[in-house]
Amino acid sequence: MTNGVRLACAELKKQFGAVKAVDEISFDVHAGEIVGLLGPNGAGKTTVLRMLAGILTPDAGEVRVCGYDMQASPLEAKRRIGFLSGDTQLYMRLTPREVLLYFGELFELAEGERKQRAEELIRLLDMTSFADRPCETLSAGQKQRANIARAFLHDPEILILDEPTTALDILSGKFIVDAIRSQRDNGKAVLFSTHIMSEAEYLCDRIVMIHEGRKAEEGTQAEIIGRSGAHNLTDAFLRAIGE
Amino acid sequence: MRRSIVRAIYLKELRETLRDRRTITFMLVLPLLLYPMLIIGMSRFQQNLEKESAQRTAKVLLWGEPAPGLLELLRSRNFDVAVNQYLPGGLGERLRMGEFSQFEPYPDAEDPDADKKMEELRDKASNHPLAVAARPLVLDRKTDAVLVLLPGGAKDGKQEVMILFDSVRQDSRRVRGRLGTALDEYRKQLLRAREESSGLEKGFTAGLGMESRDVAPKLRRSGFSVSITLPFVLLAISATAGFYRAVETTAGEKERNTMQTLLCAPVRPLEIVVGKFAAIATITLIAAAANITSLGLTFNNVSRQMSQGSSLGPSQYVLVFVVLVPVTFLTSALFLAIGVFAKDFRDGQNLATPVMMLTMMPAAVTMLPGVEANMYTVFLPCVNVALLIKALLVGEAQPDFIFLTLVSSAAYATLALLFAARVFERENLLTGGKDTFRGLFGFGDKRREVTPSMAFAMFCGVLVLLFYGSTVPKIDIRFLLVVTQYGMILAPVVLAVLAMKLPVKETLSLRWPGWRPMVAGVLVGLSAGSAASLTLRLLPPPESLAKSLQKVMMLDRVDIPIAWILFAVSISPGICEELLFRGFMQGAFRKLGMWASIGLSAFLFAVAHASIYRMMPVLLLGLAIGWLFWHSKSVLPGMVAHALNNGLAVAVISVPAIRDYFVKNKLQFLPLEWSLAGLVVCGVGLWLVVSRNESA
Repeated sequence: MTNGVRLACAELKKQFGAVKAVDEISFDVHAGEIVGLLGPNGAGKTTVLRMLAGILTPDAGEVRVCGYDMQASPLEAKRRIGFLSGDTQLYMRLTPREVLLYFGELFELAEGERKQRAEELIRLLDMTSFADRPCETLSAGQKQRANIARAFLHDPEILILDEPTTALDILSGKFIVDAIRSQRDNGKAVLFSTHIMSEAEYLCDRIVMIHEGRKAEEGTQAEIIGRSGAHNLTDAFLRAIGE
Repeated sequence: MRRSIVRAIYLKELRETLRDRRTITFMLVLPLLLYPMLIIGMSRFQQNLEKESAQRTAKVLLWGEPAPGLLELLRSRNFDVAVNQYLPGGLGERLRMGEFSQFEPYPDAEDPDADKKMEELRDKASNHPLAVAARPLVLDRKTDAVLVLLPGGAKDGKQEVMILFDSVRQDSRRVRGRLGTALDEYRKQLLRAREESSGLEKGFTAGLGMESRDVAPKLRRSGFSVSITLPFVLLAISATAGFYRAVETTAGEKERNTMQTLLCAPVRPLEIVVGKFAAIATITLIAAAANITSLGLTFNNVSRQMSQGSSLGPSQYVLVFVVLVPVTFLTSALFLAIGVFAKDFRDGQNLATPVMMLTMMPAAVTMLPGVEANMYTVFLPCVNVALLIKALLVGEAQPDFIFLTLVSSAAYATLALLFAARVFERENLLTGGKDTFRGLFGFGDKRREVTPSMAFAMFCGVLVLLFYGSTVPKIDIRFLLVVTQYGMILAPVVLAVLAMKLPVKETLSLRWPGWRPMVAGVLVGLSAGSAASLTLRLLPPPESLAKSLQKVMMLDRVDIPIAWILFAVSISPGICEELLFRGFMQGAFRKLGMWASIGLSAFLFAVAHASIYRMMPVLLLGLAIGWLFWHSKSVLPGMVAHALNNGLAVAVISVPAIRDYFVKNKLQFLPLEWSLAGLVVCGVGLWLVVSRNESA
């Protein structure tokens, strides 16, 4: 929690069989900051995010969430994280409202509080028209809004978002991007992975680039562009990964 | 484990299931509609068929010279008889000339070559010229059967008759039966006529009169007809009802990535597995209840229609349902664990189908005649429950078989659930990756202590090993007991501790506790048996149990020295069973608190003794020894108490003076004053171990 650090990882390592998916990655995310995790497909972004969210256990290294060690106090750490992935679907036979209430129970919100939070989010994310329809009948954009509501439900201090705009049309994508910005403005720490450079340019206060499981660059956009001698973030990214 | 989280997961799973039309159809609609439609429909169809067949005029060709009065009798019994029709000319001539003789009778079943001889006779009969001529007529339905009357009946007083029919055609088979009945009646008429003409007393030629009656009560007869198919159907339902939900909730969630959403919530893997397991088990039990209800009502309806009187009552069906619970838990836990290994729903179905077949198919043994529950089958998963259901339906279930079936089924279900819990701890599997066998079972993991779930797994493993070990018939009992104790109880415990790289002495509480707990152990050992014998007055054991105990204690063998008996029956269980139940298991349960750890290990100790009659005394002994273990933090006082208790039991039965005292006074139990004195001494022992914690 010191210096506004909400999420910190140090020398994270993860290996699947003979493949080193993540190799000694360290960075942190502060309150009121959006950090973009950039990397080509297979760079290890998802594995890093899964370790930070407590879904995977690192082979070595440490994850601290608001001061809690993820391995020693996983429940305390997870209570402070909202996780959203672009390819996560919902429970098809439940309605978005039921999904929200279910996760409210899992996050141990009191009954009144979870109902109130669900109502607020349904209103805020403009979900009233489909909040009581089974998720299997919703469009991709509607599903992702419901998923965002699920990730925001317990008002987490940290948002970990793994390519949340994948497979969405422009309008739905913009809706989500705006929602992420508003969370940042409310003082949340946001870690966001994407391979869409325009999104990264528009959203991220700082960027961590990874390539083949290792950190290739870290800094603000201006710092990264300045160090690489490129004209824009895309060129800087390509130079960072040696293309 | 938080109950509120388990409840939330459980209710969410149930809600999803109740909205899944496929599961609801399979679970409720199908049994409620299918059985009445199929069974009632089929039985009505069958009844109509039989009625029609009985009333139908049977077409019979009679080849040869009709015996006097035979044609009239057959026609009066609804046979349409055509004499010598379709009989080829040459064949008719040969028949009249007496060229053909009767078929050779089939050999006795006891003949060692009966099968071979039967086959030869069948081939011979099949190639008989009359059979060759009759075959196309029966197959083309020009007749139902051919009755051949061989000549010579008038001459020697014995009319030889051949019946040629097609066993595959039901009409032909029935007509063969009807012909048999009619010819029997004709024979009786002949005999009566001969008795009259010879001036013999009526019935003289019968020689033997025989009538048989079924003494099975109605309930048993009804139960038997249901017991052929019901166990298999119910086992199949149990195996399949939870199947879709288990695969959906594991592989399906992985496929949709909702599993990772669940894993990043502040929820423990055990809470997830228990919630999901409970939901699958509930769904399976609902399906089983629906099936039992529907089948019960249908069978009762059918038996009323068939005028079989009363059918099985609700209490029998409730018992069947209760027996089904552990097997439902077993299949639910298995499918849950296997589903996690699958990449997606389709892969999950492919993986779980062979397991479903493996659990379902053995239950088909109940359909085989003569297969009944015994000491071997009560430990076979799924088969034991199927046979117990069969026994319950015909009113043959013995308390010990019920007990052992429930215990072994519960052991298998616990193992399956522990496996599922272990699988749910493997994050690689849950997030779509792979895992190694070594990683999955934690071999080589440097664990610092034995957990309660490991203690349960050890108990179930030892139990299964013990049950199968005890059924090895060819080892002399004196060695079997020692092999059982050291090889099947002690060895797994020691191997597990060594495999986990744990310090043996500390893990199994092998420490000197001081003299006071040891004296307490002696007092408890000398008295616990007599105190616990009070419970025998509540549930007296059958005489067979006493005899089998004597056999186990080798007291029926004069060739075995008493020292060996004491080593095998007293000292060895004192060491081996105490290291398992107290050292390993109660040590692992210690974190659950005093009463839970003592109670749980004592209960499992009692269950392992595999008899409902010994359950209470052994439980009380286990509680007393568990108390000693808790307070002394050592396994040694319990070892002394256990060995002394068993040694005393041997002494009571083998010392002639004591045995004679019981026989002389016709005592069924230990005298009450002895039991009460034992209770007091045991109390002193238990107090002694608490009164001062004397450490070594």
